[in-house]
Amino acid sequence: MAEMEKVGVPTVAFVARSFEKDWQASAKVFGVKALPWVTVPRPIVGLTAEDIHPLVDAAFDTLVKRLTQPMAHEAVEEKAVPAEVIAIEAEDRYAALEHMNHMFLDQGWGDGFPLWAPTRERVDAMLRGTKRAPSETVVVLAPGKGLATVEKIAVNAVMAGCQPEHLPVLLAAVEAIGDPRFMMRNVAMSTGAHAPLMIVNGPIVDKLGINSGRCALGPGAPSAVNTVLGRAIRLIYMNVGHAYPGHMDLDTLGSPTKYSMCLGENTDASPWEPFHVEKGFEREASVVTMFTTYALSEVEDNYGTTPQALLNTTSLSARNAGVKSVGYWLCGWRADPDARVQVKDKHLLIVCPVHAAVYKKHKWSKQDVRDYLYKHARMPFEQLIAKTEAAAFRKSHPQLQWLWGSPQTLIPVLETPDCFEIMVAGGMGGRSTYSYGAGEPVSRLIE
Amino acid sequence: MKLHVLNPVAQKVEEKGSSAPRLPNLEGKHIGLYWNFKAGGDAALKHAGELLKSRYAGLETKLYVGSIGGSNHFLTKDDAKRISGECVGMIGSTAD
Repeated sequence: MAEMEKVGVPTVAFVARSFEKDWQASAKVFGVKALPWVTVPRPIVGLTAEDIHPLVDAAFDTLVKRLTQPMAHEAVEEKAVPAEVIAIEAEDRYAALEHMNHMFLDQGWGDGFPLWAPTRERVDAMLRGTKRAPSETVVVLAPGKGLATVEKIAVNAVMAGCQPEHLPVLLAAVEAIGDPRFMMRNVAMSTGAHAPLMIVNGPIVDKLGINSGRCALGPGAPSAVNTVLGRAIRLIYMNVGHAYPGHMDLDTLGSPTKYSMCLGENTDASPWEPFHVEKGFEREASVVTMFTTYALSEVEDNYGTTPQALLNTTSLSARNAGVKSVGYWLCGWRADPDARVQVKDKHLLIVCPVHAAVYKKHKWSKQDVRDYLYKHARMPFEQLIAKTEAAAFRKSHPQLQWLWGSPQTLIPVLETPDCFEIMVAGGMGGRSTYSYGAGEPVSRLIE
Repeated sequence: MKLHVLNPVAQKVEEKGSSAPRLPNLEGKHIGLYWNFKAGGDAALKHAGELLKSRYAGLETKLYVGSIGGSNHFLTKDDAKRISGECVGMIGSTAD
């Protein structure tokens, strides 16, 4: 709608109550501060036309007014911007740290856990982890179009508990989430629980002590580095991308996965080339990959001794049609209208070493795994289309409209075999993990 | 004692733009209905269009969808330019 206003066409949009502030904030980001809207008392999803009509009737007079009269500009409520250096007074350092934590949470700057104090000294020490200038803008980060300078990334890294040697990983990760193919605006603002998963490959995994084995995605000492790296990314989503819960992050329920998710690849247990090599990087390069995930599903199988058996179990997880990205391709692709980029939804199979050994024994390549999943992770068209907008399907896939006449036809949950991404991680146990992605993974070299 | 800490919040890059002038009246106007493919949006827009046509003589409506996307289809800048040649006002639905 902002684009229409910019080309001289007056607009008005239906916006559900509780989404108005987000509408205003988004409009401001898109360059139209007073983008008119009319409030309806609830989202119009999940309603019949008969339920929707009274909502429109009640809003109609205001809707006409918005097209014909300027809307009184209601300023977005924004807290006063604190200084770049904030002084916290207290009787001692412990009390000051406590006060700082309360103050940062009041501002919305924290994730709820205690934060480390980003003092000038600590931030300077963090900045020594890179040769890049503190003022350098790494990316302009959606959804709030925040200037992701090296220094702002460093401040958030300190708050998360990171060490200077972690900074290059974060700088590369921020470059990745700033790539239009990552669809940051979509995944950060959605009502779905999109969580960033950070995958690290190369020599830096051992150098930094990133856990790629047992409990790699879990809490505790073995994953301490994983935890702070993932946590820093969450803080960067908020304080640099301006995706704060309830304000440009409109997640319906949220998910614990949004606090922190980072792991290395267990290349010692993998029968395949490392994930980053598959993405075109040198084996000796250190690479970070950012991938958005809706949810994780266990793929428990302690009985399967063949690839087919393991992948039949995996297919059960892949067929979880309650997840948005299962069958999403029927309605089109993730898109960034500014960059005019569209990407397919991909899922990530994190193969545990026990299962990896089965693929190795039977000499199955990643492509064999992909092809098998593509062939077997299928569901009847009528089940997948039931949760999809039929008009979007008609527009995106006109050549597939014959499916309406054959509703039992089995449809792959992902568009093409390459939509199944594969890596190896974890400890010894017959439990792989299936991650339902949103969009595609984006990798960057760690320098 | 005083603890000095750095502000973690990034400065925003804000686009400069303004809203379009409003319409003097709606009689005889071509009004676009922009549906982003979110559930329920089509029903809301269709009904709003019917109400407009019943109230304003000669008013016509046309449904538009974005050219790229999936469950949320977006208007690109090119779409906006093209549509601006076909209608003088637009009603949209975000569904949420």
